[in-house]
Amino acid sequence: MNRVEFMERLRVLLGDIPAEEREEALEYYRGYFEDAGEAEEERIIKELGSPERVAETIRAGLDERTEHMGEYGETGYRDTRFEQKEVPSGYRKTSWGKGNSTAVKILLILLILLIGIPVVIPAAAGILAGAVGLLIGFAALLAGFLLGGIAIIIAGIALMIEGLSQLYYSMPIALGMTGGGLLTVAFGMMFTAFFWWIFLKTIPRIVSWAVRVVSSLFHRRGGEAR
Amino acid sequence: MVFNTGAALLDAIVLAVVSHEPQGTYGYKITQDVRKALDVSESTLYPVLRRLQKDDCLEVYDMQFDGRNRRYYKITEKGTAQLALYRIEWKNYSRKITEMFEGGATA
Repeated sequence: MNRVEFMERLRVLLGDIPAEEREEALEYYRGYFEDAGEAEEERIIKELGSPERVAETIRAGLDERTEHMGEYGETGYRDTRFEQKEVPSGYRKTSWGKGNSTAVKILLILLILLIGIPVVIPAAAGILAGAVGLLIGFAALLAGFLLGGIAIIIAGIALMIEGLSQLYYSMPIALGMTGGGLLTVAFGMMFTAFFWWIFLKTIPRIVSWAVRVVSSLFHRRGGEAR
Repeated sequence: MVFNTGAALLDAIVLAVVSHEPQGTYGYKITQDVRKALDVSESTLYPVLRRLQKDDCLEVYDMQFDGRNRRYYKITEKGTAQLALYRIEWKNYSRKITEMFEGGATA
């Protein structure tokens, strides 16, 4: 693959990113090849690996979500969660299943797929639905308490108004009712504030946790080109 | 190399390299300069440069060179401030790690 083919393939691979980003990246690599000179062309293409790999690096740079999942290292962007660190040779973990022949592996994978699909998908859907249900239930419970607090405040205000209207007939009753109304409002405010606080503390955490879990389930990573 | 270079350190190194060229410098040269310290691959720096540019730590301009267009990167005021911060952080960090490795008294 020469430089022209490389750039053409890269352009195709970047077809789905915004035009501005694509032009920036292509301009960078076009200039890169030109600055390196023809003598270096072959070496650079070899080191870049493949247009697929370069495209993936560019795309990873655009994708804010992956920021927490990997890092830009000396070999480019990578997902550090699935990597083995370099360790002194004697300590390296032995990899599994070296003795298995490929045929046995394929058979096993097929078996797992055949048995797994009817069970795993409904089970996963069930767990997901259950989790969403729990989340909604919890939010509704908190919202109920919040609304209850607001209702208490309204009742307190009503009691106060009613008390004030008694002022003309009986001072003690008027003062008593107004005072009771004030106490009720205060209680309602504390009640509301308390559950509002719990609401603010818990809901965003639960939601972000849920989003993380779900996105980690569905986040695809194409590790083969790294 | 045994140690990973995280995004922040790579940002700092790139900012430092670009800051050494008051007139600005270009992608290929930046990569070669960074390679004096780190074994970065040819594709590592584009996303870094692009991000620093978006964060207003670097600015780009195009200039004719050898009858073609070449894109130059130049450090901005914000980038200079960011680099100063990285320098202090690195000094503290590397001092602590060194002390720990060499078993010296902690400051």
